[in-house]
Amino acid sequence: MRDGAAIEPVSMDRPGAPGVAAGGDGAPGIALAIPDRRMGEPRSVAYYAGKRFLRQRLAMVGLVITLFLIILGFGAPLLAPTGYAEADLMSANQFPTREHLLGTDTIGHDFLSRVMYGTRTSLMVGFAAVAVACLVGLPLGLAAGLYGGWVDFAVMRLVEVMTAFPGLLFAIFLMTVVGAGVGNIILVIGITSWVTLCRLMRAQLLLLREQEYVVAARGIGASEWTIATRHLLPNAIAPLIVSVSLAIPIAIFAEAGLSYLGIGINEPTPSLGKMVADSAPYIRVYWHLGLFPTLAIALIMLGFTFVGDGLRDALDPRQI
Amino acid sequence: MSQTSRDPGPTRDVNTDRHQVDRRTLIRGAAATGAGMASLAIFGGVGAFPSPASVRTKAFAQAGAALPADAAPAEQQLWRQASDPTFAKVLDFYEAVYERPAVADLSSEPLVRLDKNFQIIPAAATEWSGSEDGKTWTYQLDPDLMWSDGNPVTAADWVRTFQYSADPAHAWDFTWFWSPVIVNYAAAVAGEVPVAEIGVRQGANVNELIFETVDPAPYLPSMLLYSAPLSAAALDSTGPLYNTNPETAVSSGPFILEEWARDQYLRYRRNEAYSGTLDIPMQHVTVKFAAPTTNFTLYEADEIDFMENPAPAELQIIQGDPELSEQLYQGVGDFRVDYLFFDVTKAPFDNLLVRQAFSHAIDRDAIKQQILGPLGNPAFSFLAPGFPASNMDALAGVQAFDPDLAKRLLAEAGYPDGEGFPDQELWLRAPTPVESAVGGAIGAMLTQHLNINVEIGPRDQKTFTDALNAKPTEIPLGFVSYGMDYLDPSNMLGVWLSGGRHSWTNESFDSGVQEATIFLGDEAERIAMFQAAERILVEDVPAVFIHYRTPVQLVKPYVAGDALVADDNGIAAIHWPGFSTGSTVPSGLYITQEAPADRS
Repeated sequence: MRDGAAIEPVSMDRPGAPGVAAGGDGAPGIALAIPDRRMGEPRSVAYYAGKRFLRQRLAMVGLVITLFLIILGFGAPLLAPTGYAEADLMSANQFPTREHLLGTDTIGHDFLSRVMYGTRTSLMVGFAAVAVACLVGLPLGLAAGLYGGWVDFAVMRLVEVMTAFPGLLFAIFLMTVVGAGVGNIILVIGITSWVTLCRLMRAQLLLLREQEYVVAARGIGASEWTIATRHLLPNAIAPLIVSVSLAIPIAIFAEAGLSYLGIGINEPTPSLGKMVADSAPYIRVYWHLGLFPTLAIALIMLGFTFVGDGLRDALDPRQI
Repeated sequence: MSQTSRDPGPTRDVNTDRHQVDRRTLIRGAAATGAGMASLAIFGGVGAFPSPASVRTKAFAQAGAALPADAAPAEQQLWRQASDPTFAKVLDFYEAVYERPAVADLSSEPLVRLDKNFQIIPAAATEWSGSEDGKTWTYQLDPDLMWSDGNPVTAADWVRTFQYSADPAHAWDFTWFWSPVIVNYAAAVAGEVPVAEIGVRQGANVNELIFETVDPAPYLPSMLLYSAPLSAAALDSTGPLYNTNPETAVSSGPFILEEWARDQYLRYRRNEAYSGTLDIPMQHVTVKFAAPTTNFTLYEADEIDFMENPAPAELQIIQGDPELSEQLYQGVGDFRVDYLFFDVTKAPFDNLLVRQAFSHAIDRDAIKQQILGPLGNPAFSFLAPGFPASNMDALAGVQAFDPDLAKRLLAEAGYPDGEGFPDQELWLRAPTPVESAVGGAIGAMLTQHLNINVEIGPRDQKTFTDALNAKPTEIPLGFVSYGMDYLDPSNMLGVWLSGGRHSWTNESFDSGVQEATIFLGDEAERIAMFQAAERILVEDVPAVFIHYRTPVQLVKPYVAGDALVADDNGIAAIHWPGFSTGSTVPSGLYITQEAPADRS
């Protein structure tokens, strides 16, 4: 009896394909060592996933964009020409010049600095909100999938309640209650977006816990903790990575949407969504006020979506 | 980039066109109207008012009088304007003053109205007089005025209307206006006396209406701009919302409700039974509900005939367009002033030095130059130039921009270079693009000159207003505006009385305003009393005054009439309160033959 596929690699079902990190039924497992027939040495699934990821042009474009934006955003305190709150009213409403590469806004902020700090805000909200969603959704999904019974029942009813609320409206309601601010918007987006991760985690565990290697592990007396940490979570992690990578741009877009509606982040903290909203009355004259934050949002969305798609393809067990 | 030169901004280098007024004209002109108005209110009301008979004529259509030679046919006499749906929850003044479109008041004829020179003139009242002590006011009603249902308009309608407005079960949002003025009104609102005991009653006959005031009230004729009555018969038969349904609508005004598609449009047709003093060429009025930010688009698309307050960037487009710039008008509006206010009962704003530091840290000239342009002028006092008792020039130095002095004052207050000063949130009330920009600029200047972190916190209308009116107030630092309800200093300054809109209290100010308000003597002396009170207000800095508004309007070239001809002070604009029975504007506008035939 084998304790899952972690004990020894299994042979490939398809000629020429790398080994499947799984038990006898071919369930995936990232941590597994897989023999490389050409080299004659085992390679991990992560190695092959990485290799496939690097071969995808769009994913690489997305990665470059994402890394560029991360450097631009989080490096803003070092790279931006001015602080985000610094304004010179007498320099307001300038089109792009050498002095102000993206121009200035209606009260004289350097617009490049605002876009950089706005990008930082978006990324911060995106990462943090998804972290909150993970903190809420994954343990709930884990508990539901692992224990089943009344735990599963309770979690799923909670999921249904959350699903019954339209996401944006619920977020607007919560923002109205807790008020504007970066911390609050992270909390609200996180609270309203954990459901997908929870359901995915549960679904994965429901699938995996019936696998033969899990049954086998249980049969040899492995504890639930061991089963969960050594067999279930490693095998469930790949789709979760994909889901998380795709949840980040959704969270960023949610922040932009809420800020566009005026209930997200207050001035002077820059938010790309709010910058787009504020540009609306000026767009016919000061095109740069709408264009640059819109481009930044589009690039963020594009970058993360390409990376997410790339990860999905790279970690897809059917590609292995 | 092809555009590398510095853009002048939407509001800089504004050319004065034929409809615009420069500041000097504005001050001179409005001062004259203000003084004239004030003297009329004070002296004209107490003595016998000139007989209005000479100004009464019958409406065009009813009398069969010809439209002007260049007017479009009667069926094309349609007035179209936009309105914010946020303020169109009801159509009835006596249900929610602040949530109804003002144009809905066209269904009722007030006792008086304003002419284009801001003079109070007869409307439903043909004449009025005050008692020697200024506490009893008798209005003679037009005996010919009829409701559209065939009932005569009588004193009973006003008596019922005022009683309904004071009913505590009704909880009207405008009771504050009448509470300090009409006998027993405040007590009735509080449920302490029956509404039948308020000081509004019928006189010797059904066409005589009497108001009894708590104190001498020389300004009462001005206040009665807000006196459009409800129909007592309709109140009894249908209830207070009779004017929200075309089938039950009853009107004493020149128009009556035809259709109300909520959040879409509101349409009035001519009230054929109207026999009031307005000669109105328009046959229909259509209000299209749309967010204010879309008004310019609607105007350009020929969907509306008139709009106010274009955004700064839109103003730049207008000024750069030869045709649109010819359609630009500028007036004084309701003498509105925008100001920063503090909760002076709590730290750090309980410290006068802090408030003074704030007042010296804001560069109004820069705000004017870069944001407002023709939309406003720097303010250093509460009463705008032209408003009765305005004293801006004498008060200009009290809160003048002086960043070095501001820093010194803040240091004296215990916050050198802003150290230890708590972060602040500046509340804005449902801000327009201009208000957002001004609020942002104020925050940036406080950061720049005083090293204080200021977050800009926009709130919706209700949240802000509730927090503002809460006792104690819930707004430590806010930005808001105030405009007149009637042209008397007691109205504007009254908002600062203890227990009023703000938390600031000052006994000297209170007594000064109250004494001046009821003062029946020499006009110049009364004005001086108000000016002394305003000086206290400005020097104690419960507020930092930022700018006086000078509203900009766009009117289609096919709209003509006396309302667009310069008034006695050289100001050509559709004057406040606009297309309403509180104004002669409706009788001063018509559609010419140049208008497109398919307007709707």
